Amino acid sequence: MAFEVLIVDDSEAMRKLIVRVISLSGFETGRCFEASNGQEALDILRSNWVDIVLTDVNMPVMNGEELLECVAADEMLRSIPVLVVSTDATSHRVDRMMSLGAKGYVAKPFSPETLRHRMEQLLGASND
Amino acid sequence: MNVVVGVGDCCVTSDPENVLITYALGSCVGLAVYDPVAHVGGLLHFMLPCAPPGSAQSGKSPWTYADSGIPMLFREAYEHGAKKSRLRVRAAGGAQIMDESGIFNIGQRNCVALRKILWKAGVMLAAEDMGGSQARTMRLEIASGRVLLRSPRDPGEKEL
Amino acid sequence: MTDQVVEFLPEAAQHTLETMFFSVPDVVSAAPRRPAGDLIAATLAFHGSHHGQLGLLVSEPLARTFAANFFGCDEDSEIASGHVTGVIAELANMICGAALTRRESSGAFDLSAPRTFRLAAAEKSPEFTSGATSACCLEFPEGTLVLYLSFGTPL
Repeated sequence: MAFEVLIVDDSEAMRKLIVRVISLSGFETGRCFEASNGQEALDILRSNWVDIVLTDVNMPVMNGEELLECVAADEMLRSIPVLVVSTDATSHRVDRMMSLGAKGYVAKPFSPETLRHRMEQLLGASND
Repeated sequence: MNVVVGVGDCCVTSDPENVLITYALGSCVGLAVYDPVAHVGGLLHFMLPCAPPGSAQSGKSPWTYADSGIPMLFREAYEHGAKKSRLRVRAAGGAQIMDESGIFNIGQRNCVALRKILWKAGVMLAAEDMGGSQARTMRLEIASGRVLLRSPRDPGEKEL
Repeated sequence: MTDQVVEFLPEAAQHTLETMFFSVPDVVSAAPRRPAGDLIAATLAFHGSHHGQLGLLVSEPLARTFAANFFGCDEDSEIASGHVTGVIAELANMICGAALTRRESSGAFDLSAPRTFRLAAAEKSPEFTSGATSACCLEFPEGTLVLYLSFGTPL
């Protein structure tokens, strides 16, 4: 079964890197959607099947925290696992994002192997 | 049969009787590749990140350097029948060991060089045990593909 | 308190550069100097438990090396200049975030979107290069990266 992935980050460079990590990770992936802020991400989520979301926190228009709040409030979206990928790894932020329903957290900078490992954990758990 | 891979050396084989073993991975890095379908395995022990200009003419083995040794390791594995998509790649070493000039960061540079070369080649590590301050011994069993590590302060072997 | 962020800056920069840009500096010093030649500059503001600004100057050849390493391309491949500045923006973002996380492990901060611009060799240095609380200079074979950290109202 191919996984559909949504990458949310206002940095095009970072989105391109994450797409490359996913393509090298050995996951069977279908489409890799990209969004540059939380609002674009919500528009994609509401019109496409997505198996996992990777999201940054600091973004214009709608940030990662606001995105998580919207996803948690939407019964059609709240079961989609969200992995936060952010430069902010303070305990305050991590606790906040996990309490909003994030299923994992990767601090930038990260190695490709670290991102792959976290995604394996979330995708494996969602198949259980 | 143990086949010893020396410092700045490499061995690639498909003989299931062979166990490739390399000692004294201090600041050096051991890189093991294994194709579980073709049963081809290789072990490289490199010392330094980059080959300086003219190193080919100086007689220094290309296996000494990450930037020459790693691509050659992969090419030899392919020549033995391995496929890139099936290769399981594991690395150990790159410890902070004082070198002769007293600079502590050769191990760190070796680790960074390895990661850069693999990233550019589109290869990800399946497992690693790098950094720290202990030397390691690494062996690759060709029959099973298992990589086992030993270090002075830890009892027994651990599988990577 | 600000001293702790200052000492975390070179550590955060080196960790970021090794992990995602596969680069280890030859020399790290606290003495800033404007790199020679044409440069790429980046700035971003932070606010929260502390507020201020991170500024960055990087030699163009070094910026292209960072971009090639980040994307996993060969160093002589053609990378669009927009992609190079995008990578430098993300570099500034990650260094700032990593430094503040080290300092504010139980605090809170938000980062603005980084702003990047090109600076020709003859152009005046940006305002963030003067009056910074701390600076960090990292030398590589391809060029120099200089970081400036300021506390107070961002420029």
